[in-house]
Amino acid sequence: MFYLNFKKSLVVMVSLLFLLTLMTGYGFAEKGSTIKVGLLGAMTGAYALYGEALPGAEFVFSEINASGGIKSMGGAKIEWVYADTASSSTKVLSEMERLVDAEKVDAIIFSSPTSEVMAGASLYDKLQIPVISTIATSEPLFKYNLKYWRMLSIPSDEYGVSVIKWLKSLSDEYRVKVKRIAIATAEVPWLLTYLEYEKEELKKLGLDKNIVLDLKYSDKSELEGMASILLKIKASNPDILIVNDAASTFPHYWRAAHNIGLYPPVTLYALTAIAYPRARAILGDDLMMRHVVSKPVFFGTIAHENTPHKAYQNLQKKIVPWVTKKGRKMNDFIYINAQAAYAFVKVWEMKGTKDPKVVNDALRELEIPDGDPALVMPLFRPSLKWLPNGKVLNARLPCAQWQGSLKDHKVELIFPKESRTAKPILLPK
Amino acid sequence: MYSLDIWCQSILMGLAIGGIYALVASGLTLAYAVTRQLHLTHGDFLAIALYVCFLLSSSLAIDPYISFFITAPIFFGMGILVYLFVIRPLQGAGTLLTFQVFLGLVLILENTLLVIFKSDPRLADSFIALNLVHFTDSIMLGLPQAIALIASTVIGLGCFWMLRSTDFGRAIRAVSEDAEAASLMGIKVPRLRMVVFGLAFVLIGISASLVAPWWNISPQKGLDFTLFALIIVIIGGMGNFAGALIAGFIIGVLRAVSGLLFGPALALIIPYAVLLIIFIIRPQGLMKGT
Repeated sequence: MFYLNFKKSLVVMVSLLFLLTLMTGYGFAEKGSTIKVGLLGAMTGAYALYGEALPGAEFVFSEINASGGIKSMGGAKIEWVYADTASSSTKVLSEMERLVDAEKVDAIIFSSPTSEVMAGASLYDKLQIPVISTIATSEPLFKYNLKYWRMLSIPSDEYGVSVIKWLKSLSDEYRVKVKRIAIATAEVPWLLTYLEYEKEELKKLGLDKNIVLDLKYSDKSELEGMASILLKIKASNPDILIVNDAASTFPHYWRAAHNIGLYPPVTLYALTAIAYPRARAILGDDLMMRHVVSKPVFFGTIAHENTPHKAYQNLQKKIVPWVTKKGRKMNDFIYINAQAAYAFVKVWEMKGTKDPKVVNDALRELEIPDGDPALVMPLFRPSLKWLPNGKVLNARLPCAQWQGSLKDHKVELIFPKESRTAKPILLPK
Repeated sequence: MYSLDIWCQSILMGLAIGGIYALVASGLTLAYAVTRQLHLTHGDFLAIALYVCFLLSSSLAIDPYISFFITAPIFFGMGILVYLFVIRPLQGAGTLLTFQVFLGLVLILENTLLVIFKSDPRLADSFIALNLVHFTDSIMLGLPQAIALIASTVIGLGCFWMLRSTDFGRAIRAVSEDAEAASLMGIKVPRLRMVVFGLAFVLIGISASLVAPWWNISPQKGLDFTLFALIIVIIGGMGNFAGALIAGFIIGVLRAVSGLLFGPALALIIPYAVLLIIFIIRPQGLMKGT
């Protein structure tokens, strides 16, 4: 009797095992499993600002987990593990290999400058784990046509083109004079790339002959060095001044402008740092009021807080208190990492698997249109998608202007026109 | 070419920054004259003084111009301590050992500042930070720069007068000429060296108060300050106070004017180029060193 029962049980067990194996082949085994994501970035050192933005992805994953996980995978939870490159390109390869070999991650979000993203170039396709690198402009990687790497930021050409689009719009819409254009650029590789694209765009518009000054300066210039540069600009008497400034020279730029009395009719300032409270802390309210707030100074902004965009506003409402509660610093790059996380979540939901190849193929084809709750960064409108070489499409640097007072942090969005929160003011008549 | 206004503006800015170079370098040259040792952490202490101004301004709302009354005695004491615990033990030690000790100190000081203040640039705000002095409609100078120019000139000339016309000054000159002979004449050389070191540090404190409202400071700046002060000391003539003052102003103006003529990148190498030329045509410096 016992023998028969045992035999029956064995048959049942073997049948069950067979069925289970069959189900695995069709992906059913992923029900209730976990997905592990590597959050790689420069978390310490000179580029810590990049890595400090990684919690944006952590926030999205915790939200998804709290709302039941990835539903198409039977509520699969997302786990994440941080890895620090310590702002050193030499650590990128070892940290990536550790994430893939030891931590067994299924995807990587990589928040570091271009130099570090470049350092990992030899591994992306070798490891065959989908990587989205954020914030870095990553220009040098496009030519490699990497399959497993996507970038999520504003590419250098878009920076340059965006600034000239602001100029064109100001000229067309508000009749701002563009007869004399002066350009000053800090000698940093990516800023020099912006400059190339700015000049190319000006050429397309037939405005290249209006460039009266094209000045480059060291990103290590001190106050007196900046004053000499700005004296040259003052002497060139421009209608429009385009400044591709570096974070290291930005306090000197504004202070020197004040000291020599440089007040161009319109300044297009590509550096986004001027939009944030941190700028006030560095420049002081008085200088901000005299030279930025009460002057026609237009600048780039990655994620303007008043942007009329539902998904972005929703995210902002939740993420700011979350970051503050965690005792971390809020910066705009956090939104970009959140966007990268949403792109992965979208693909996992769509495909119902964490299989790196399937996920990667889906990412390459992915298009998140505006209106989809997964498109949280308005700067990627009308839709977030990538070119085959990993370059993001449709990224445009929005333009903002301080208006009103510093107290209310009144930075208004000027371009693109469809997102405008206020008209540009203080333009020359 | 540029208009006269632009040139005048450039020269004025050069004079203002040159005054500060002169003040910092004159402290360094004074200390060298009596100890025969180049104090290679001079710039780092200027960075520390700037951070003290920043802290007093940001936490106690003490204007940098007022904070001098706090920094001066602190830095006088600090100068004495540096003399007693660093300079004096190193007297007679070989150049290599001295250099290694100073290099170690530079690294310790810079990294300590980095740990405490991070690498963000800081600025001590002053109530006159954005006031301008208009010479004409288009020639202007920031009031803090104008104050720096006037104060550094007055203080430099005052120190020069002190060295020329007071017993204390004569004692300093005697020690710088021949310490042994000065000692035989009854001058207490160790004490005088200690006090001179304290005074050199007071000059650092004054310089910090004068530039804190318009110089952004970060921990890595210390070595730059030291290098610049060294160049000026060598150009002026090692240990020659007047030489350091004059060389400071010359370098300031040359940098500003060359920045306008050749661009800021070339302006950065002008002091080094001047140094090389001086080495070739007048190795003793603009004025004869002690």
